[in-house]
Amino acid sequence: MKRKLHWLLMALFCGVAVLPILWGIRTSLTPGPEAGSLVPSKVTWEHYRKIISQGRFYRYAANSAIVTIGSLIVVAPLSLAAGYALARFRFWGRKVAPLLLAFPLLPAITFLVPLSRYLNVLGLYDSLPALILSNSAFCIPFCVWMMRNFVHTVPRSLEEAGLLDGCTRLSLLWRIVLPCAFPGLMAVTVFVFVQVWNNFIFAYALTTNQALQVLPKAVVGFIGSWRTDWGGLMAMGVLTLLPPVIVFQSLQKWFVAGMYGLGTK
Amino acid sequence: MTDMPVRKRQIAPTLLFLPAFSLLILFWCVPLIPGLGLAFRSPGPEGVWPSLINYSRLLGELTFRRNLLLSLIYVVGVVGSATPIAYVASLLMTRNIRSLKWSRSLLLIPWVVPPVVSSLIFRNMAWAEIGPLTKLYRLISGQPGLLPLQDSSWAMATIILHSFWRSVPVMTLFLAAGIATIPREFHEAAQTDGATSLQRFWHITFPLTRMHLAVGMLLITAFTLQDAETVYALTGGGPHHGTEVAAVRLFKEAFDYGQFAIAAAIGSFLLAAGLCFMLLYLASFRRAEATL
Amino acid sequence: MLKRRFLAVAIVCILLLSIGGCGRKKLRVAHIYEPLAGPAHRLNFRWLKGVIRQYEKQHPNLPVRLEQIQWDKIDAKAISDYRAGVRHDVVMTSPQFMPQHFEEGDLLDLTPYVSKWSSEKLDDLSWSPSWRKCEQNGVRLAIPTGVHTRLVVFRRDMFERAGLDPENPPKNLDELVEAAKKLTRDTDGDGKTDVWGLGLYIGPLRATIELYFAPLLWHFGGELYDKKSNLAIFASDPGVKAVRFLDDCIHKHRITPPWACSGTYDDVIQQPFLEGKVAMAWGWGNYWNKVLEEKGWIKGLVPPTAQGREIKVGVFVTPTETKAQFTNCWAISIHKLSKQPQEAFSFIETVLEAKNLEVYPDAGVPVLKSIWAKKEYQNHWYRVWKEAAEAGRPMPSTPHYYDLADTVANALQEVILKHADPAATLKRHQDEFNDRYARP
Repeated sequence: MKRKLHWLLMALFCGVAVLPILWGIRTSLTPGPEAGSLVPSKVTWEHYRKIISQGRFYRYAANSAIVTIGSLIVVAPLSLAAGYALARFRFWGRKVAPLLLAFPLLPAITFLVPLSRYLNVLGLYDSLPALILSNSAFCIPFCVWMMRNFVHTVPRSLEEAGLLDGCTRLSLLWRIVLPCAFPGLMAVTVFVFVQVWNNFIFAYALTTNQALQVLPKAVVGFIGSWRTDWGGLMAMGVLTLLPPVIVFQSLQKWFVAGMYGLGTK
Repeated sequence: MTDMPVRKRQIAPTLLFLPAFSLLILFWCVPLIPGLGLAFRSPGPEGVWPSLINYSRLLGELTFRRNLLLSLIYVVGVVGSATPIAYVASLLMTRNIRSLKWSRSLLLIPWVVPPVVSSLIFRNMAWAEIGPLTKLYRLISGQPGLLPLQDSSWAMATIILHSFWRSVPVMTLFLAAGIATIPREFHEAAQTDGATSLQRFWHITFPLTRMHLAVGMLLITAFTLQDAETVYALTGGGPHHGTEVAAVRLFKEAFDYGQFAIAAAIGSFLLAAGLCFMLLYLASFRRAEATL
Repeated sequence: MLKRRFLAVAIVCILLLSIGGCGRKKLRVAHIYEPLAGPAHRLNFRWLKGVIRQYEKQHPNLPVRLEQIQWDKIDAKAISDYRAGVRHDVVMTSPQFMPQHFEEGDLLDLTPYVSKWSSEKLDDLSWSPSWRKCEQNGVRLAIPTGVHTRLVVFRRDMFERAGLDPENPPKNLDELVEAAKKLTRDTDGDGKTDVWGLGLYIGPLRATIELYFAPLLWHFGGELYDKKSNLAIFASDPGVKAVRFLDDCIHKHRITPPWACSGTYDDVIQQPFLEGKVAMAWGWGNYWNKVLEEKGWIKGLVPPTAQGREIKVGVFVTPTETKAQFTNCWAISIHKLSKQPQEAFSFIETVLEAKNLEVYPDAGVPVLKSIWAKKEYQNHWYRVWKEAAEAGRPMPSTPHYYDLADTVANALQEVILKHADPAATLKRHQDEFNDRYARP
């Protein structure tokens, strides 16, 4: 009885969680605006066909992928190193560490104009590295914090044994801490992937080059002074949300395990 | 807490920490300082510095005071509704019931969906005649002619619902992480003492997950407080400023009106509000640590 | 260890490549078309590509780099990029924002270039209201590439069914309301209106002030803004009358759908008209005419042919006293930070060639008098559009136009949705707007 109740409750939650997405998919498969039910009376693939038949779509997808993977390459090692330092050493970084959680509170929109000026001076404005660096800076406080908590869960005795065997600090990090902190690194990966892939605001403020557009910008492009093509917009939206959903589903086990490492001491 | 044996003036931790730290300094703090400094410059291309005119104008304005109030309602609405639901979901999730294994991947999806996409889906769902949300609202309110995006309270409910929908997964994950760290014996001992499940939640689960709760709430608050793009895409701040939270006002000032000085001043309000929330949460986090 | 080094090298390579890519000299053209976002965007993008091919043939050493910015943000972006020191060469701009561009100084004065034109060329281009708006205090900031104007489009078949004469559409506001009352119908007898007489939009976007409030305000003898005192003056007696008219259409006459206050302008005006839910759509823009042709409601008119005729729909000029509808266009400018203004202007001249302007889908109706003289344009349909374009007016000369538009839209919504007192509501919004930009 109780078990059934649990099951029902969970089913309800999941229903609410996926319903809007199903509505999005429905709209993307409906030929025109249509009232009513979740199941369209006529299904068409036309909206998808129109998008994926354009080479430009793959260009944008590739840009999104480059920015996302680029940010991962920057954030993952840096946050592992910094997290390890914070978890294991008593040094000046410990004093600034509490600020890590304050960083997400700074509204990024406030400083987009100075950021563009600054990136322009550096010669990086309107380039994918600009997006990589700003997104990385945006993600890194939380990722360092996550890694710090995760390294805490790695038993110290393993490292001490390593030290006795004559490992250097760096090889210690590489050989012992990294494998143990792997789920934590996966958690960081998923976090960064989702944040960066979905990011609209940096792409909007820092890139204009037609060849450097990313997918979320193309979604917003549908809203305009001509009739909003809701079917096409939703098709574009579904195509945009697929990669993070796939990455999340495939790394989900590690991600959840990584999050479970959170805050344990 | 035991630390690595450390020689004085050891260089290793600094070397490990510096790359991440300098990334933050270079691409966040360096542009941030002139960004916030702009708030003290009078508006227009030849603004005077320093000046408090942006603040006095904003605070003198009924609309801006309403912007701030709506921000507060938005944050409290989202955090207040997402937290209890996330507790229930995380308790179910950590129960390790085999028949519920499938649920985790579905439950966490909303967090992964790009915000611009989900807000446009919600806008479509709340659209006048064809939207399922419109139908639902009409059923709840008993007004057959209700148009949710034209009624400021229902429009506000819609943006809260959307953020709630996005926030529950994150919160659930944090709380589930906390619950997983509670030793099973605690619950078993309480059970033999005859504690009801509600009592066990109140005396064991809740105090021991308070730290996770604080961090989860902090993240959701930060996200909600600064959330301009989803509200802008969903309602545009309307009807009649009815959903124009401070972040949307900031977005409009910066990207529509080109009033960067006023935008920066609003940004500093958001930052201050965020810090207040953080202190509030961290105070409870400290208390939680003390009870451990 | 090795992996790290590899990664570091990879990052450096990406950085170098990107910097190298920027170094090559290119003409940066900022536009608003996202080819992935629906057919209208695609069509205009293809046109732009055609112009670029022609330009690059003439300037083989200067390839064009396209930059894309959302249509309602491009003016603000040109300004913020100017402040951030970011360079563009050619930028699409809107006439509404010329006073702001003038104040910010982000656009180059085109007077020296335009003064070299022959008088015929100037005469051909300079008749539209937008041409005048693109010049501020003697500084020419932009050149119009089309004429966007609006009027009322109606269903001829519905007129006939309601006993109205489609050849004799309403000539003043009273006739308009009367006609709309006859056209508003409950076709299936379920007690709900299925066809609305008059489509209006009072939503949270700029269209509200431009297409509905301003024409009515002009009709009643009011103005939005006073240039001498730099103050908004819409909270006047005519302003109250204009709001009352809009409110009455929804609440008193019930000829306008109640959902007129949400969504976007195209969701509320274009879509319901195409679905047959609205019999007359006020504020129909000429940049939308192509869908009428696609639907078969007009034939041979977009693009214009000698046999063009109206089949199921007709048009008439907004039946206010002044006949004035908001009229603008996409204009084209040179960014102040451009390092190659000469080449940028030569790009503008390529755009302005008659053969390019004639086929520019987003031009609305032609901006060149010489095109209007062609025989394809000598029919009732285009005569009405020409009349609308000539009677058209620009938005007022305020450097804070976007905020003014939002302010008015919010005031209107408060009156119509919350039944607030019109005079007091307009006054409060006007005062807040004026206080925000008062000189200290």
